[in-house]
Amino acid sequence: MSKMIAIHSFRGGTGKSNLTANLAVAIALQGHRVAVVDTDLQSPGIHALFNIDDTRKHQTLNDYLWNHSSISDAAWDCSSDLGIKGKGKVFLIPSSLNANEIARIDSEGYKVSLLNSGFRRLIQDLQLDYLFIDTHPGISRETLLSIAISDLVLVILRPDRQDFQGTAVTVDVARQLTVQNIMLVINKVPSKIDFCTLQQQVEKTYQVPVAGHLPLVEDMALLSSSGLFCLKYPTHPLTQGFNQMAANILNPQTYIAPILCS
Amino acid sequence: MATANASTLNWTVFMEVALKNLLLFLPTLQPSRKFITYSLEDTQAQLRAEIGDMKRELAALKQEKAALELLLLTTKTEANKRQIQEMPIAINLDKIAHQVAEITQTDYFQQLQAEVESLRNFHC
Repeated sequence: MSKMIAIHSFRGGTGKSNLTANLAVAIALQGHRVAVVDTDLQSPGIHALFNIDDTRKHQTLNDYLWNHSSISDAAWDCSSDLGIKGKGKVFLIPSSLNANEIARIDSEGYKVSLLNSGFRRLIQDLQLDYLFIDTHPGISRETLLSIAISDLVLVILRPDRQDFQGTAVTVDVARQLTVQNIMLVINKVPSKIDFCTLQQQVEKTYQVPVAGHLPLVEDMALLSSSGLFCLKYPTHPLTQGFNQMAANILNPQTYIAPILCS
Repeated sequence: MATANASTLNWTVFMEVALKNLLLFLPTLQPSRKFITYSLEDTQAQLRAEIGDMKRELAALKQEKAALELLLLTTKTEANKRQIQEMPIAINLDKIAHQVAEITQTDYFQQLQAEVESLRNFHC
């Protein structure tokens, strides 16, 4: 049974694309077939993490939305480039980096319902186990759709006053769309913050479980979106955090809380 | 030959003078002869006493080290306690209600809300 997972944040810069890409790869490394769709058509970015700098040589999500190609033709198999062997696969469906294409999205918009049928088609054609949707920050129509149809919604936030406010909006809207599984990920937590207390406060405030908390890591900043952290630093505590979340996604019945607070 | 005889004579004179001078200091060498006369029991007792002194010194050093370690640990713990911060989550409920209403009152949202079940069960 395939699962769709939307990863969302109310504001930009939360680390959403990094979380999406690293979780997808962590799951693929466990032998699963995974695809990542970059629905951040206005400001695409996740392609860089998969070392794709030029989308002109290949189809993109934009081509599918303008009816120039099937969505499956826009899927790039990144597995061998990432060194993923065996059954596990990672596909990326990037958004176009072409300035005219981005401007067209802004000016003309597109038929959002195409995303839903496209996601289902991808799952079927690529025989996916997991489909990750990297959403546009804020609450746009495509974000609402992605949240509504996903099996799991991960909302990522930083310990930041504006993120706290925006996350409350996202959670409230998701509840009105009767989203069943919604979890929070607290990212870029400074080491001086008491993780345990923060987690308890977040869970109490939003009445939503925390799937994971990830530390503020200088190595991630130094990587400067030029690769996948979990592959470059396989034993780093941040990678362990990604792996733990991946394990919880793969086996929700044996969910391990990120912190055991007494 | 004459030079060799002179050297031999000088050497004999030198040795005589040297032995006379050396014998003057013989009494001062007596303590070492006296030490040799110590019994084995005395030597063992003296060594045991020295070991006892060293043990006491080592115990004092250990105590000093332990006290320093404890001081450092306490200082570090207190520093950590001072560093760990709590981050209060302050959210404006009125503002949230307003922002949520702006989204949920749109035609798109209400249409999506009505169709969401069928969308979830959609198969291509």
